Amino acid sequence: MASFQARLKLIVVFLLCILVSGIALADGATLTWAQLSNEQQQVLNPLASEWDTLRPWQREKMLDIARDYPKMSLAKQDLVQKRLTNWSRMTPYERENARKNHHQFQSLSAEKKSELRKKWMEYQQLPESERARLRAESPGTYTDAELN
Amino acid sequence: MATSRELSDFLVAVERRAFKQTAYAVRDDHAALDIVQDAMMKLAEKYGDKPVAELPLLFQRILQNTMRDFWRRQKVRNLWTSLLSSFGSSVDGEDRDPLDTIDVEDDSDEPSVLLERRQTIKLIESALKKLPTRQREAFVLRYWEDMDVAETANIMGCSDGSVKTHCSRAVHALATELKKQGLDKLGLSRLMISNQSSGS
Amino acid sequence: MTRNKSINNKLDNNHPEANLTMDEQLACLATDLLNDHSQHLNATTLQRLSVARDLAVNKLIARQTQAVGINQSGNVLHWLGDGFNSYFEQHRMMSSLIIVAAILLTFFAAQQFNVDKNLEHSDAFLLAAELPPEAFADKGFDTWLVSKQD
Repeated sequence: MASFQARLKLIVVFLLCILVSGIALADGATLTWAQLSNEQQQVLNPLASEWDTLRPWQREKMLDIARDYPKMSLAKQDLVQKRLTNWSRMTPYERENARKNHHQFQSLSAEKKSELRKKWMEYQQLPESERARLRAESPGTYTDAELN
Repeated sequence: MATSRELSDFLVAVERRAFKQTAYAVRDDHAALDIVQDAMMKLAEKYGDKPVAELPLLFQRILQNTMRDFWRRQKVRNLWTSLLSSFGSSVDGEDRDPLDTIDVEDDSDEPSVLLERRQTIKLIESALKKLPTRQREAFVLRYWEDMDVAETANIMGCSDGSVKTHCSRAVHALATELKKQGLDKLGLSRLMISNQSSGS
Repeated sequence: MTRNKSINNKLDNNHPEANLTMDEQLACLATDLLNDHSQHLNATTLQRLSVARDLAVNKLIARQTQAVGINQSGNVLHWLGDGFNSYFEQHRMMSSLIIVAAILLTFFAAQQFNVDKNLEHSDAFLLAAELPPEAFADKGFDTWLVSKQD
């Protein structure tokens, strides 16, 4: 009898811990635009009109950005605002691809980073047809099925 | 359910050839070690409760999947890290890689049989590496790991028919390449025998 | 490793009387040599494999011991030793308080974990990087960079 009670207690505690950490972690994935705080709305302003159409996991990601935003310098915050809309329009696997490349990019030295910036400018001067051709040439990296 | 002793014995038996097979597939000894380590851990974590007879197939499947994960990461990495190397930086700062000494190259004093053996192995290895991925996988599983068709199909995630096709092509391609390099049955069996008699 | 299985497995099920083809025999010999060669790895590699194996086996031992622990006594706190066990049975109030504290700790730890995720690799910093996100995502840019180095 004592063993059954003890087991039951432990299960209840375990479930409570899960529930509680779930509450802590799943912040605002299902909040509507109106339910966001002022600060969150300010940061995510470019997404105001489409917020309610975003899937919960997409909103989760955007809220992560809003959470990190206050920790950044003004110049960086400005960049985030400018680029947020494009980012939200990218597909999940484009974003995953970008995260991987950004991770690599971080490990480069300052001069290599600026070298890459110059290369990006150069690349953008290419005609769109040429860039489309290059995109078609490259091996596919992530398909939806591979992301988990 | 497998005992820890059984798992240990199984791993001892399989680990060396698993390492080589992986190294042929990914062409990177460091990565091969990582992959084999990963696979061992996953086997223990997820399938420790399976009967010991199922371990070989499970391990091979885990190994293949882990290799595939590696390839996926590589495809993304290579495009950017090739940029790193073009700008003259090295990815890791080690001057000397202990794993590079697997095949010792100094053959000045080597007895000719050993030398011939080593060169033959190199030829076989390069013939194996030349195979298309699926053919090589099927071949290794069937002819090296002694899996039957159904087991191989299970591990590779394809049909029995595909396995047979991949195998027959692989065998043909390998045999052709080996003959082109001047290796024949007689030569190879001679090397095996000489190895056994020298007791190395 | 026993390779006795090999001949039987290679026989075509439709023609059990057929022998291995010449090509197959050659391939088998080659594989035998490779298998033999694989036994002679250098010391560093062997050692690393051995370490990996030990880690995996220890993992299994740990899991199996846990399972046994639960089966042996209904009260899971038994793991912590008999001393703790009797403590918890006698001091119910105290043990409840400890449990509540554990719940709160989990809550705050989860909050903390959320915050301390590696900042520089977060999406926000990706957006604020020297290149716009399209640069990181553009496969054509990758291809073009690679072609440029040749």
